[in-house]
Amino acid sequence: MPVVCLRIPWFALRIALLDQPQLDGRPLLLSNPQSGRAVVLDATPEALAKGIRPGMNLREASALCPTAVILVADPVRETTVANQVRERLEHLSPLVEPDAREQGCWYIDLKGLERHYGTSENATRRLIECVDPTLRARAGVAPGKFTARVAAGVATAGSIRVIALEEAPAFLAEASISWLPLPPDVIRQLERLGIPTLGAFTNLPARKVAARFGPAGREAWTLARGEDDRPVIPPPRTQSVREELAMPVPAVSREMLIIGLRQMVSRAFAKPELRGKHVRQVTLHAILEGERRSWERTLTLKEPCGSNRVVNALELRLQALEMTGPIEIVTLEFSGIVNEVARQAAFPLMGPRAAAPLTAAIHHLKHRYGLSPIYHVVEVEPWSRIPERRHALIAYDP
Amino acid sequence: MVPDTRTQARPDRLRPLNEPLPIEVMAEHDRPVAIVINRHTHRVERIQDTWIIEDEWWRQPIRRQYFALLLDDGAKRTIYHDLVTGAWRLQDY
Repeated sequence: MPVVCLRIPWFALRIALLDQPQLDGRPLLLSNPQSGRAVVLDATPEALAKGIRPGMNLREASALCPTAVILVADPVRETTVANQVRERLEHLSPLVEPDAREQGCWYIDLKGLERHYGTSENATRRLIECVDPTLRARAGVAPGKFTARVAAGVATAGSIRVIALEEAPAFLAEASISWLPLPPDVIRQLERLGIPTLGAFTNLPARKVAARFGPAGREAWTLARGEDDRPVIPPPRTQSVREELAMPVPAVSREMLIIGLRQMVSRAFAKPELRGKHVRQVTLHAILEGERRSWERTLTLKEPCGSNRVVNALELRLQALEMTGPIEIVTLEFSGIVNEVARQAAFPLMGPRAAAPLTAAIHHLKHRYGLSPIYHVVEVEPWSRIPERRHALIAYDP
Repeated sequence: MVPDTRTQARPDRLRPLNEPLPIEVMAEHDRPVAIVINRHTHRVERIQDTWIIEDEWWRQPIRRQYFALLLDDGAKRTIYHDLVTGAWRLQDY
């Protein structure tokens, strides 16, 4: 069954262009000018043509291309737009899977859509139309996800590249090695070894690739041959609760932010969806005053926590926060909602009066059986994420 | 609270609590669709939550994907898929 890969290259930069479409076509850089060491995070092809590369110092990049426009990442908007695109795609197909490694890339299973739209090209055209034209989406259609992604990578804005099953190996053989789902340092190693294309990579013996690059390398080798039967699996829908606060005055200090967060946490836990529940993850989105800038932090808790422990964890996490500007709007998103985790402080029958007869009974049992058959629960690693490591039974031998 | 008896702890006397139990699971694309409990097959009505834990990579790596399941009889069970061995286990989290 054909799979579509819908891709928006330079996603963060294209998002910034939604508000300033007049900048389209100019050399654009994505950077973090507020941080101590400002570097180029991403660059459009116009900027790359001037010799600018991601990771380069911002001063060096400005010297290479003085006309380059520096844009600042807006992660909150990126997530919002990505979710909107995904929702629109899900109106057309229930099988939509965002790429785990690249934001602005989705896989869609065409099962059933071809019959509805006539051909896979028509169906794919309809999918591209779900995306704002400013974002310059393009699509690849192929029998597997990996080939579809490479096809989308060579397609131009608004176009569709279709790769049939029989032409996939020849098409992939010419593609750059950088398409492989391997860490950047492994890709650089391969390039240094004189392996610039997927064809050269698949010419290597599989066992040698596995020995040198491990299971990930072996899997990449299989994908590079066009052997990819991974299905499109939509991520599970998880319940989440959002709480937003527009600060009465933009927050400039950490203390002000924490006061706001305390209010938000208590408001959120008073909602019916969170009442009597615990959460595993909290995401904090902050929109800064003035120009479109934002940041977000995700806090994954060691174990499900209630409101008080969430506040403590947030305070602890924000201790090292560097405020990059006055915060106008804060949003907290609670996910991983589970039922309240009970903590038994003491066994109710084990008061001082009950302990003496119990001790006598254990002595009797010990005389009879040679060891104490009564156990008590002890904490071993109560913080452990592995449930069987948290508590253990130990012989109660008074 | 049970008073501390000051008895020396011996590893052989420690019995871990909440140890995972083997369970028979029918899965599609690595997601459970039915589980067998006491020889009865229960259909998975809904996967309420799923999360992955990865730990102890420095010795015996632990990689598990947990699923909080709502079964067709209304019961809730938590199972995990051991991503290292491929086995399924029943375990409260």
